[in-house]
Amino acid sequence: MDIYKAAAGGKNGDGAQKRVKIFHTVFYPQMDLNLRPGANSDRANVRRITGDGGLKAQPQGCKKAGGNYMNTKKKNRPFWSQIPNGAWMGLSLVLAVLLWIFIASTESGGVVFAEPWEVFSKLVGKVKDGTLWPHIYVSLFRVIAGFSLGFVISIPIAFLMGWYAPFRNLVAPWVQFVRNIPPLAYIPLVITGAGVGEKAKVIVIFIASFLVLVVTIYQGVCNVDATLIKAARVLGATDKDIFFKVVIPASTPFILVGARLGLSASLTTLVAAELTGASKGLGMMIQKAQGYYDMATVLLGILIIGIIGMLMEQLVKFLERKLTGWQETVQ
Amino acid sequence: MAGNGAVKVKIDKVEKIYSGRNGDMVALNGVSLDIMENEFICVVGPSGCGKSTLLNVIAGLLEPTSGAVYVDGKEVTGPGPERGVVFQQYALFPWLTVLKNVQFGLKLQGVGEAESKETAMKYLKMVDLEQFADSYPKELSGGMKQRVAIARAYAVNPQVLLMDEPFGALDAQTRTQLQSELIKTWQDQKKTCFFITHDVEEAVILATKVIIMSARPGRVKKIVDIDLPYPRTQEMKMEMRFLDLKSYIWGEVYQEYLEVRK
Repeated sequence: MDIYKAAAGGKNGDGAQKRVKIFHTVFYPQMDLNLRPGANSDRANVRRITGDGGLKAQPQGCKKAGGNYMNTKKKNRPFWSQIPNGAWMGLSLVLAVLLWIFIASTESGGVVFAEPWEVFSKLVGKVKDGTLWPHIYVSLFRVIAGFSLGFVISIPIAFLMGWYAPFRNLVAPWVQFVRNIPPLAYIPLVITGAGVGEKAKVIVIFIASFLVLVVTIYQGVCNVDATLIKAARVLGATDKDIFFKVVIPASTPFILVGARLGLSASLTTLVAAELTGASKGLGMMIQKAQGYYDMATVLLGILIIGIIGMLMEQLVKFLERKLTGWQETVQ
Repeated sequence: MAGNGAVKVKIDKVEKIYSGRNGDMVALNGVSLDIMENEFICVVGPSGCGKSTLLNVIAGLLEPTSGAVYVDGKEVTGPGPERGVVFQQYALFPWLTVLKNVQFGLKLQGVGEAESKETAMKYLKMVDLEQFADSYPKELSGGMKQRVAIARAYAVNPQVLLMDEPFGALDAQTRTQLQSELIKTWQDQKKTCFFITHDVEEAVILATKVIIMSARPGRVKKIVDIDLPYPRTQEMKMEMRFLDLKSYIWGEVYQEYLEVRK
């Protein structure tokens, strides 16, 4: 209250003015430091971080500074932190194969796991007689067709859900409902409706990827920063501009996450989809091999599906780096 | 000293009531104010006094419950390019480079690539960031981001510039520096400015007129003419007249703050 009185009475007399002056010299003694012409904190910061004044150099500059700092307390740094990522990958692979060899060599494990070289010779045999490629090709086609359909249809649906409350209120419960049903459960319906041809498989994969995509992209649309929409609006953006120039780019990270999850859902549904009766396909190859008790072929199919999944994930990650590199990341 | 007598923005008995679950909340209770052309208005007041609501109503982002805002005699019914806004949270589009951010509004108005680029570069130069034209917002500091936002608002050449605590999230040094830059920019290219701040010192150094708003429900409590001469410098902050004005306004705001506490 005292300070307040002194300040509020500043207009009234010399005594009060003096008090105000004292108040200021007490509270702002370094004010003139801020007033130096060179006290440009922004530029000073950048120069300090980058060393050479160029912003491009910032990431390396930061990394280097961090590295030097770490080096000064070397004993706290575990030895494995110096192993490069590629080496970890190789190590992980070698360990997996060793584990596989070990399990295959045990009595009970050997029944399930064919030995790696057995699987490898199956691979060579199937590549030589040309029976493997059609399986891969057909399965890939189904995954890509089902996923692409899901991708293309989920985007407008998710945006509509985020944009128009009536649509969201009607459709969201359906999505929630279907999402928890395993694809195997509705396969009979699909077969009855679409027969046992390609259509049925694509539909099953479509449903699986569509649901994942819709939920993820819808989250993205809901998370668009309202201030960005305001900022666009005051710059003269129409609803259409806001949709194409703000909402879509702002949701891109979520669309890509959706794509990654959707692709993985597509692959996991593949085998179920091919249960609907198929003559070709990796799922079918696995099914058929089971009948002959041919575990090497089963493993081969599993390995190929897994590798396709990892490659697709890498592809989407590559796209993420290309398309959403602008995001602020927490390191 | 500022303005040539013409009323640029007329705020006429604006009332804004938010209805919520806990009943109605009166944010603005009949605010009337005439803003002259090229005036620099700073609005101060305790938190929750409706400063931002008022800005949003002028911007056309919020509809008043009753009353109206007129710009050049024309009633505001929505956002328009003649009113630029700078937000506290910068609101830069993170997927666009600095240059493309500044070009954004121009392109919406149908200005071609080459011409909008040239204009954008001119305003980036004004805020001293032309060397960062191809950087993304994430590569900039808070102060730099806000300078881009100011350049973006200026680029579409609005007649009225609305600023909602633009320096509120910045450190004291950057804040002081941006204040000086803003004063200079405003002097070079006169615009009608409506600037919201918590910081009384900031209000006095920037404004030609300070509006003190009362605690909820928001009303205009007092209008204080700032008769400090131009060009304004940071050194003025040590002068007696500045300190007088500052402590007077600070006292008025503090009184409102005590009202809120009660």
